[in-house]
Formats: sequence, C-alpha cells, structure tokens
Amino acid sequence: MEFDSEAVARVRRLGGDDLVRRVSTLFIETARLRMTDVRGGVAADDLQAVARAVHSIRGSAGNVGALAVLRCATEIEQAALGARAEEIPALVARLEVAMAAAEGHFGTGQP
Amino acid sequence: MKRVAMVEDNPDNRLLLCAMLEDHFVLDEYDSGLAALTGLEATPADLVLLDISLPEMDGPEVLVRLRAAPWFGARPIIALTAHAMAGDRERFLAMGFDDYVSKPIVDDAALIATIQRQLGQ
Repeated sequence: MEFDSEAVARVRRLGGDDLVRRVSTLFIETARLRMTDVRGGVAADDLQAVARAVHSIRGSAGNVGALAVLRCATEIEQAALGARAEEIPALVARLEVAMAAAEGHFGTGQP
Repeated sequence: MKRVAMVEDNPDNRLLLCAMLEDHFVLDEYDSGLAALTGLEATPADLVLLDISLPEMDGPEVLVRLRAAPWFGARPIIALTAHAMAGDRERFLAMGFDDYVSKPIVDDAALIATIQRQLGQ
C-alpha cells in the first residue's frame, strides 16, 4: 500500500477538499526543496544535513499518508544517524522514485 | 481566547495545526527559532508548540533561550516531533518541555486537550 487514504480522510474532515489540496501541494513543494538538501548532503558527505532533510520529508509525508516516501525517508534518517553512509545512495534513489509517485498521486507532478 | 504560538518550519504542518486549532486559540506562526524568539518577546503567547527539528536553531536551543528570558518564564512549551522513538517523552520532559506531541498529529481533539490542560483550562 503506497498511500494511506485514512490520512487524507483525516485532513478532509478538518478542512474539506480545499485543505487536502493545499496540504498535499505544500507537501510536494516542500519535499522537492528538501530533496535538494538531501542530494547536496549526500554529495558533501554531510550526514547530519541528510538526516535533517529526510526528517522533514518524513513528517510531511505522514500528514498526507505518502507511505512509500515515509518509509524511504525513515530508512535514510536511520542510516544517516547510524553513520551508515554506504547505504544512503541506494535509499535516496528509492526515495526519488517514491516522490515521483507521490507527485503523480497528488496531481502536482511537473510535466 | 488564549494565545498559542507555533514554531514549525514546514508550511504544511503549520497549515494543519492552524486548521486544528484556529477555532480554539489565537494563533501566531513562526517558521524558525529566531523568528519565534523575536516575535514572542513582542507578542507574548500563553503557550508555545515547538518543533524539535528546526534548521539553524533547533527546538531544544529555543527552549533554553525561552526559559532564560525574563519575559517568558515558566509558560508551557510543548515539543512537537516526528522522532517518535522509544524514550522520547522522558527525554523531552527531562530537557524542560512540559509535554510532548508526536507528528503526524492524528488526533486533533487530544492535541487541543493537551494544550488546554497545560493552560489550566
């Protein structure tokens, strides 16, 4: 299961379809920025920067039930905090795929 | 209505917190620790919701500075975190937070109840 519909239903109960649209758009926009930080952190071998960026992605993904993004981000955070740098590039590649799927799912993917 | 400040760098988290709390409290939003320290001195809040993982100045450092500020004193500060690891609650309470709420926040009624309890309402 890639997406948790209960998470979206929770947001909808709070503020209707309008809030769902705004929160999911903000999730995608913010996560795109954080992905830049993730890539920069990997390139600079800065595990703390990687951990911080994926931690933020993780929090936002949870709000909208983007489970694959949440899972990948959690694994990267644990690898970064555990100083297992060698695991990170493959996990980041998986996160990129999960992010692309989330962008498609929430209808905010770039052409 | 009591005044609640949220210090949270992710705009989607702020938006959700506003949707949950706006009918119950007057809200001030800050996207960084530094903005919160400046803003809270000018506009004191009755309670602060403070994200742990903030860029530049993280939540625990903001907490220390707020506790040291004579204009803030012992007002309640609730930690917000997506850490959710075993022992988190004890760790945050030991740091000087009054309570702890893990993200994503799935129960808005529980969050409101936690804030009201801390405000003595």
